[in-house]
Amino acid sequence: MELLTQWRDRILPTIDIIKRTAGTTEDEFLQIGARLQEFYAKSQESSRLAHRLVDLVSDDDYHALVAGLRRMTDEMAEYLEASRLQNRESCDSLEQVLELLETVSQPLAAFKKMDKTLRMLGISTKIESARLGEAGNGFMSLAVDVGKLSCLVREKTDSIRIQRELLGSVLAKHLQVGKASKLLQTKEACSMLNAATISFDELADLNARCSSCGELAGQVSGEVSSSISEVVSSLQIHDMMRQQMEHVSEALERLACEVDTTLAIECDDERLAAAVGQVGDVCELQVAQVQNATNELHEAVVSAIDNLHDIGERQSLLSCEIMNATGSNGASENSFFTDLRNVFSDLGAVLRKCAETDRLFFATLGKVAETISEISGFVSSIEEVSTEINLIALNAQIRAAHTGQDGVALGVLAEGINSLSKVAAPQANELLRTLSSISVLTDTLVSKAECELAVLGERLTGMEEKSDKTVSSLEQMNEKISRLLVDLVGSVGELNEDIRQLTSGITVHYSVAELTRSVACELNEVVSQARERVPATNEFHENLRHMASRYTMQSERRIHEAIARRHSGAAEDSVVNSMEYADSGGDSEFGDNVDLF
Amino acid sequence: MAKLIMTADDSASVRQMVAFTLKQNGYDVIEAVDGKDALTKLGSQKVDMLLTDLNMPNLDGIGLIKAVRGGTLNRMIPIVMLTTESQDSRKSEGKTAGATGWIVKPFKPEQLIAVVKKVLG
Repeated sequence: MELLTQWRDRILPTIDIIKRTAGTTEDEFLQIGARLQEFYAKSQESSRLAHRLVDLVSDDDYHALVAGLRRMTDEMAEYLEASRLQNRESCDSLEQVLELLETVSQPLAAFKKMDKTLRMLGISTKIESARLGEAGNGFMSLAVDVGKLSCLVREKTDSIRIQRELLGSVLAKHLQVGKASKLLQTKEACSMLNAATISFDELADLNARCSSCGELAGQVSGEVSSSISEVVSSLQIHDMMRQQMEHVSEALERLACEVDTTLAIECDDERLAAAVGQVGDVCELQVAQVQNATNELHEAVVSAIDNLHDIGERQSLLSCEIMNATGSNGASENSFFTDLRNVFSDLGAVLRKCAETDRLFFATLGKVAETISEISGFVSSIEEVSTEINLIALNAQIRAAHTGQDGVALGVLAEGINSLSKVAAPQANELLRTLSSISVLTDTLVSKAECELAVLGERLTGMEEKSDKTVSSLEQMNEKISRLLVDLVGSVGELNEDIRQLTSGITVHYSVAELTRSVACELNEVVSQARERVPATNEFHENLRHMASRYTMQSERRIHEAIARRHSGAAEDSVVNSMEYADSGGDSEFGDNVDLF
Repeated sequence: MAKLIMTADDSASVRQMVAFTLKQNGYDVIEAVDGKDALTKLGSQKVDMLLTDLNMPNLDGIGLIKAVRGGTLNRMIPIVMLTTESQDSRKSEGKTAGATGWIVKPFKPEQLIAVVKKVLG
C-alpha cells in the first residue's frame, strides 16, 4: 500500500509535465509556420529572377544580338581588307613617285653645269670687253645679263633640288610609318576579330548553359515546392503529439484515481496484486506512447529544419550555377559581356585609326601634287631662261660682227652662249615630262583614293553606328544581367539568412525531449518496481482494452499492440515509431490517407 | 473571384498549415477554433467548402456536420473531415452525418489541393 502511495505521488507530477509539454510548445511551430509564407514568397521571387536571367540570354533579342555581332565582325573584316588593299596601292604609287624623283637628278646636274658655263661666259665677256676698251662697251651690259641669268638658273635649280629632297624625305618617312602602322593596325584588328569570333562560340555556349540553367531552375522550383510540402506535413506533428500526450495524461490521471480508490479500501493480496500489475501495465504503455510522441516530434522538427535548409541551399546552388553560366565573377559585374563589349569598342577604335592612316595618306598625295606643281613652276622659269640665253647670244653675235676683227673673240663667246640655250631647253623639257608623269600618277591616285576613302568612310560610319547600337545593346544586356544577378544573389542570401536565423532558434524538439525524458525516467522507475512485485502477464491486452478504444491515431494503436504482443509472447512489431496515415485503404487517386465518399 | 473555404480545427498549427496551403493555391480562407465557432461563423457567412477536424472542444466535427447539413445557408457545401482519426467506424459515422470526404492527418499540400479541386468541381 505504501508503494502504491509512492507511485501515485511520482505519477502525479509527470501528468503536469505532460500537460505542459502538450500545451506550451505550439508557439514555435506557429512561428515557423508564419515564416514559411515569407520563405515561400522569397523562394518564388528567386526562382522568378532565375527564370528571367535565363530567359534574357535565350530569347529573340539575344539571338538578334548574336547575329548582329556576327554580321558586324564580317563587315569589319571586309573593311579591314579593303583598307589594307587601298593602303598597299597607295604605297606602291608613292614608291613610284620616289623613283621618278630620283630621275630628276640628271636635268638638275645639267642645270648646274649650265649655271657654271654661264658664269664663266659672263666673266670672259667682261674681260674681253675691258680689253677692247671703248669698242667693247656694249658687251659689258651683255656680261651683266649673262650673270643675272646664271643667278636665276642657280636659284631655280637649288629650289627644285630642295623641294625634291624635301618631298622625297617626306614620302620615304610617310611610307615607312604608314606601312608600319597599317601593318600594326591590321594585326591588332585581326587579333581582335579573332577574339570576337571566339566570343561567338562562348555566346553559343552561354546560350546552351543558360538553357540547362532553365531546366535546373524548373527542377529547383519543383524541389522547393516539395520541401515546402514536407515542412507543411512536418508542422502538423504538433497536433498529433498534443493528442497523444493528452491520451497519456488521461490514462495516468485515471490510473492515479484508481490507485486512490485502491488505497481507500481494504484490499486483499489478489486485489493488491492486480492494482500493482495495472500500474506496471499502464505506466509501461504510457512510457512507450510518450517516447513515440517525442521521437515523432523530433523527427518532424529535424525534417522541417532540413527541408528549410534545403530550400535555401537549392536556391544558392541555382544562383551559383547561373553566375557560372553567365560568366559572371561577382554580383556586380558580368565579365563575359564586359569583355565582349570591350572587344567591339577596341575594334571600333582600331578601325578609326585605320581610317586616319588612310586619310593621312590621302593628304600626303595632295602635298605631292602641290610640290610637283611648285617644281614645275621653277622648271618653266628655267625654260624661259633658255629663250633669254638665245636672245642674248643673238645680240652678242650681232655686236661682235659690228666690232669687226677685234670682236672675233666676243663672237666665239656669243657662239658659246647660243649653244648653251640649245642645251637648256631639252633638259627643262625632260624635267617637265618627269614631273608630268608624277602629276598623272598622283592625280590618278588622289582621284581614286578620294573615291575609295569616301566609300570606306561611309562604311566606317555605318559600322560605327551599328557598333554603337550593338555595344549599347550589350551594355543594356550586361546591366540587366548584373542587376538581376544582384537581385538574385541578394534575394537568395536574404532567404538563407532568414532560414538560418529561424532554424538556429528552433529548440522545441530538444525541450520536449528534455521534459519527456524526466517523465519516462519516473514512470520507468515505477514500472520497474511494479514488475519486481508483479510481473507482466498475457492479460495485458485485455486489461487495457478500455484504453485502446480511446485512441484516435493508428500509431497509438500500433504501440499498444506491440507491447501486448510482447507480453503475450508473440513477435513484437519491429517498427512502432513510423507514422501511419490510416488503418484502412483510402482513395488511391489522392493517397492512402484520403477517402472521398 | 476566389472560392472561400473554412477550416475548423482546435490546433492553431494545423489551421495555419491548411490556410497556408489553400492561400498558396488562390483560395480565400476563414478559420474557426472549434465546432461552435465554425457554426457561428457559418450562420452568417456563405462559404464554398468546409474542412473540419473531428475531435474539437465545444462541438466536435460530427456534430458540426450535422448542424451544417440541418441549417440553411451552407447546407449543400462539400464538407471534408481532416483528422488524425483513421478508424473505419469513425469514417462511416462521418459519412452518415453528411461528410463528403475524409483526410487523415498529416496531409500533404498537394493531396489537400487535389481533394479541394475535386469536391469544388
